[in-house]
Amino acid sequence: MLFNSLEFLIFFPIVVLVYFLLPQKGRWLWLLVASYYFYMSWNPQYALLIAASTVATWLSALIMERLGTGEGKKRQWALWSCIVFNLAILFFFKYYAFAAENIEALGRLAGLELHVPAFDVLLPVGISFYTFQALGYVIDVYRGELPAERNLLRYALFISFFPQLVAGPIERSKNLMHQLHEPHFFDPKRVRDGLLLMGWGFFEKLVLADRIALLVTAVYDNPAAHTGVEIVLATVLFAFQIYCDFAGYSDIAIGAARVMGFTLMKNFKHPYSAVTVSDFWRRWHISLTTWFRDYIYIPLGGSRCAKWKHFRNILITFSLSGLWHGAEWSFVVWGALNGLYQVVGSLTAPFRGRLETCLGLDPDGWLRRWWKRLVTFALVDFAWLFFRANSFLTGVGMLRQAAVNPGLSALRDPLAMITVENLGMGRKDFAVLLLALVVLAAVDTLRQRVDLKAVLDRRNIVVRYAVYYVIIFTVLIFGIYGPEFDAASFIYFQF
Amino acid sequence: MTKREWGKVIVKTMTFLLIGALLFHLCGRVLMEKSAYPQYRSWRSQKNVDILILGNSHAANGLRAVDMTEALSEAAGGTVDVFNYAVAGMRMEQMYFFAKELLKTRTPDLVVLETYAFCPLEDRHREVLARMAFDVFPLSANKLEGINYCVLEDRSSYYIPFIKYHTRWKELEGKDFRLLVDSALWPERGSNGIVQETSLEDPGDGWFEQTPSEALRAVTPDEAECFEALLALLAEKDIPLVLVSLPFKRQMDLDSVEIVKINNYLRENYVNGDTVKFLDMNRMWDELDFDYSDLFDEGHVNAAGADKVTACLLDYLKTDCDPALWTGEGR
Repeated sequence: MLFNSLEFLIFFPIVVLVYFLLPQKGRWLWLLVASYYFYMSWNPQYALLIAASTVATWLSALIMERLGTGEGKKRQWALWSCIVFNLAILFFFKYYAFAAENIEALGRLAGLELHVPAFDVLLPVGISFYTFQALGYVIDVYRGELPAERNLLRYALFISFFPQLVAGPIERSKNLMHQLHEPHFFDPKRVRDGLLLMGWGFFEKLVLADRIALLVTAVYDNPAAHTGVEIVLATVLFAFQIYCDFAGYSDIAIGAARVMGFTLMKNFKHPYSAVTVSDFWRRWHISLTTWFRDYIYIPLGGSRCAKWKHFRNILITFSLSGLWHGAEWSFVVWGALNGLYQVVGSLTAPFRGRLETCLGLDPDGWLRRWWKRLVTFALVDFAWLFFRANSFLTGVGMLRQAAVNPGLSALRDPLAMITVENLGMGRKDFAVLLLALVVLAAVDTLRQRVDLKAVLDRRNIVVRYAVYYVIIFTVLIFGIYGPEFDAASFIYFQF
Repeated sequence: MTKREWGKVIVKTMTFLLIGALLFHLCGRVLMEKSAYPQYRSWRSQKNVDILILGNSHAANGLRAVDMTEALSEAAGGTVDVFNYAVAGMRMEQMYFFAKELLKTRTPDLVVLETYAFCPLEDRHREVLARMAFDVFPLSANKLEGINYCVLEDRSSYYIPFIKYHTRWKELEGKDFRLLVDSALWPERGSNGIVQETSLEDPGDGWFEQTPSEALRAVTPDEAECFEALLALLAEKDIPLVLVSLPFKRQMDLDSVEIVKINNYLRENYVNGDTVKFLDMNRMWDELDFDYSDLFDEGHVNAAGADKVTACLLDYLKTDCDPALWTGEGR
């Protein structure tokens, strides 16, 4: 079930109510049942896969712990068997068709007619997320960073915890595991904060992300019918669509967990305020980027090696990150491009510093900061084009289309291009979109400077209730949902 | 938490939810599509209903409830309130649940049902017909049952119409607000028939000179099930039924020759001349002197046609039916 569905709006209150009515001892079991029910609502057979991954990683962790540090080789064997097993499942469901396609293409290039057997399999929802969460746990146990969980069912809850199961945040065992052992008491303030965060998440998802999706889909599904101006507009808006979609989901997940007393890690930190691409990646999908940093980048050597190796590690890490997002070359290109940005940024940093000094620019001045933000946004957004395009070649085609048919004359009367037939939305929807973006920017900016929840707490009950009702009814009235729209899944569900 | 703190939390939560529910209800009313709303408000404002007319656009266009009220009141020497709650497109499947909803709040002395309701329901029309039948009513066991029966998939927006209509914020006009409170916009007695006087040109096909068929055409199992349930409901409330079939040529894929066969089937299987009667105007084209000049389009009468069929029904009620049937005396 999607977060933005009637089923979830019924499921969640029931789960929370029963959770707090149960004695402390039984609560985690109830959450496990609810989490598996949540996951099986997509497809009951998926439960077998997540259960297999759970048992494999739980067993491996126990075996490694039992072997002790003296049995290094055997522990390594246990670790790598577990990693290979889990990645094999991931590979089969997510990458097999992609690999087969490319093997056949390579064969054709070599003049061979290869035929790799095809399997018609559905990608299980959330498999990339829970696989990485499980692997993170088993690696942490291997490194001795935390003890293995003895209770299989409690470990199963760690893997399947429904708020973050299908699209993250990819939780670290050091953060979440101990919380599953601790008691959680009903706290009205914490419940309210959690619900408020969920409300904000629904605003980001339903009012913004899904509204922008109407326009982006209209352009990206048929780029040849659109001008450069429209392609640029759709690409710029896609940056906000993917942010609001993913951050919205994360906020709902974090809020839902908070209602029940759990603290999940922050997954976004005002990413479009970043002043460099590296800074962007410290603020975007933090759970994934830190996972790649801790389990891929640092083991490869990180930055504590020769410069060429450092750059190699960056490119490998980001290419793999791209591949994690999807079995398409466009995702790999997107990831590699982000890696390349950082390599080039690192190489040119001394030159840019000297240039600033020569020009007498204040590196911390607001103009310089905003310029860097703009450049960073442009670079990141250029890469998003490939992320969103149906394929790498489509992305290239869109760039060509934008160059060949810029459509700059539309800028004389920009409102004229905003029609349902052309951009998938009318002017009223576009006006709501712009207003919602202003609200998003304002709230995001304020959150960096003040504790908005504390500010709200100091207001009287009438003001607080008014704010809650404004959020709720903004989502209810302006949200993109209902029989006129296909229920828009969260973008990251496809990963 | 202490008991006092728990009490505060509960009170605050309940207050928040109640105010929220009220706001949700109000927003839902404002945003709802209101083509069926004025009749609903008019129905709710009626102090008394003696004769309830059910059907679809045939009855909505053809039967003048205001004129019938005047005529029957004069004939009875007292007030006879007629309400025409025909809803465009409605079929028998929705009609039963719709009637059940209406009869929760009023018990008329007589129900008149126009038989184009037995035109078979195509799946592509299910959505709009279910919405027109159910959206105005508050959620109830009957409404849920009706939705589950009539709607084949994705029922959430029928249970909660807000899910469908929230997008109407783009189309809101002053009328959406005024219709909620201004009773002048609610039709006095439901529908009072068509006012358009334009008529069809006679194509010379002799349609209305045909001899009515005696063949039978069975209604669908769903129609039979819903009609029998309606008959049982009316019997339980001791409300007699007059089936009426207004003249037309063709609408959608059903023409009047076929409706006569359906009418024959209904007459054969359900009409008992006592609690269930039938006035088939599609067997009375000659008598009514009905032709293309009485039609607005092939499916519906025009103003002249509405005058004729209303007068015909009035005659029938006054002469062929015991006045007690429509005055409710002695019941």
